[in-house]
Amino acid sequence: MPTETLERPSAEYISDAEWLASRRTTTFPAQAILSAEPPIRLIGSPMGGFILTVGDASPPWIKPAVRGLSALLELPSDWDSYGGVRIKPEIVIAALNLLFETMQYDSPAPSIVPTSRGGIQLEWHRNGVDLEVEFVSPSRVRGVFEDRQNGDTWDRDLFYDLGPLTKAIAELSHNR
Amino acid sequence: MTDVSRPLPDFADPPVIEVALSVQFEAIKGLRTPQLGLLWSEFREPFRRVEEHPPLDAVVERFGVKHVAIRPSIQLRMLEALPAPRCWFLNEAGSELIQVQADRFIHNWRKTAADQQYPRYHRLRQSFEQELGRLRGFLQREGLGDLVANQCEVTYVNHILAGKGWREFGELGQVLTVCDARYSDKFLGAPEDVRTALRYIIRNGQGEPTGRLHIVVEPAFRLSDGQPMLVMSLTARNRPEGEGVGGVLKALDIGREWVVRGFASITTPAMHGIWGRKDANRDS
Repeated sequence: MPTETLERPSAEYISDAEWLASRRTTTFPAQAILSAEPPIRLIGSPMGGFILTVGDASPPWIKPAVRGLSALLELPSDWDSYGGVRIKPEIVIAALNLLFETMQYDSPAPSIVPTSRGGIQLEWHRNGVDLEVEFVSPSRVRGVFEDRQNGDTWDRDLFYDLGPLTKAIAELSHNR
Repeated sequence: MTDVSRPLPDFADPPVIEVALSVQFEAIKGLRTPQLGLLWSEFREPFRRVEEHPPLDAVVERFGVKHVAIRPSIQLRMLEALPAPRCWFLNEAGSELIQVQADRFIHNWRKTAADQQYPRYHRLRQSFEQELGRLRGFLQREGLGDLVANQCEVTYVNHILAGKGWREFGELGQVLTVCDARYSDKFLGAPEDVRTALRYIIRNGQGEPTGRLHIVVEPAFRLSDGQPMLVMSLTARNRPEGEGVGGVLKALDIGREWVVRGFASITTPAMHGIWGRKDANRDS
């Protein structure tokens, strides 16, 4: 797969006003390197992070997902007033990667919630299906699935085998 | 599926020129350049030489992912500062080295002299186990955490020289069982050269996929004398078979078995004869 890595390309910097004004861009507060193929394009941010520019042909779930994940990175320590740990950027990256590997074009965006241990939970509740994916660390990923219509359930590791998750998301994506 | 009841294929004169045992783990944030320097003191005898190289990308053998054209493919990784390097600690001859980076530990053996014998897997595994223990001890003393392994990797690189069993690059079928040159007509002659890459799924006793065996064969010329050769690399990458160092070693053993059985399976009996295959089950 041809990839292109951009490392703070100064020639492509845009002004704060430009990126704040754009409704098709969303910031990624932590510094990151992205390797991307169209329609996602990466440009450097003068504020130290990177901007993920979402093209018009991109799947609709990308913008809300990236916004939700970006917001988690801005949570302070003790964000829940119960000693909640700051969300680990590497977990945000892992969650975004997992979405890119499993979501279809018309998949519904997940609800994204922080966990007190500094992790992330992705949730879908739709069409009689409940699906939750918790990231404890980048490689400790657990999913729980329940389809109330046909009684299917599972609770399993989702780091190595994404087949069940891909199938569950496909079920979420289609009306029945 | 592997048949563990059969002994592994064994060759008196295998064409192997490099072996690498590797474990990938969750990145240890505190393992940066100064700490890698401190770590060198743990390995300085016999690894007296040091080199710095760019870090390797993390690789995970995942299953159940379907690549569809409309789905964007993006890889992201954090860069909170300049990436810490991958350090090589080499012995004087350069025949063995340790590679360490924030999320990877590798032990390599390389053939650096024509008369050098492959030291065999069990000796390399023993070294790897001891060195991994030293790395864990260092991380513990420095308060950097412990290894959370997620992939184990065994790589064998073979140089198959022209003149023994094959002459031209287009004769890959003389070496590989999967490259029988059968054409629909006589339009094409022998190819100028051939390169091939194959992937096989490694499954556990329950039939679940746990990793992959990658086999790549490419034409090349030996640097020392320009002799044509086929470079054949076999990489088995799979998940740890349990917690801790024991789980890593068990996964490496499975990977090594796949590499060795895979090498015998994909190469022709004629080449086996040249390499001196000596196990009893060579025809099965």
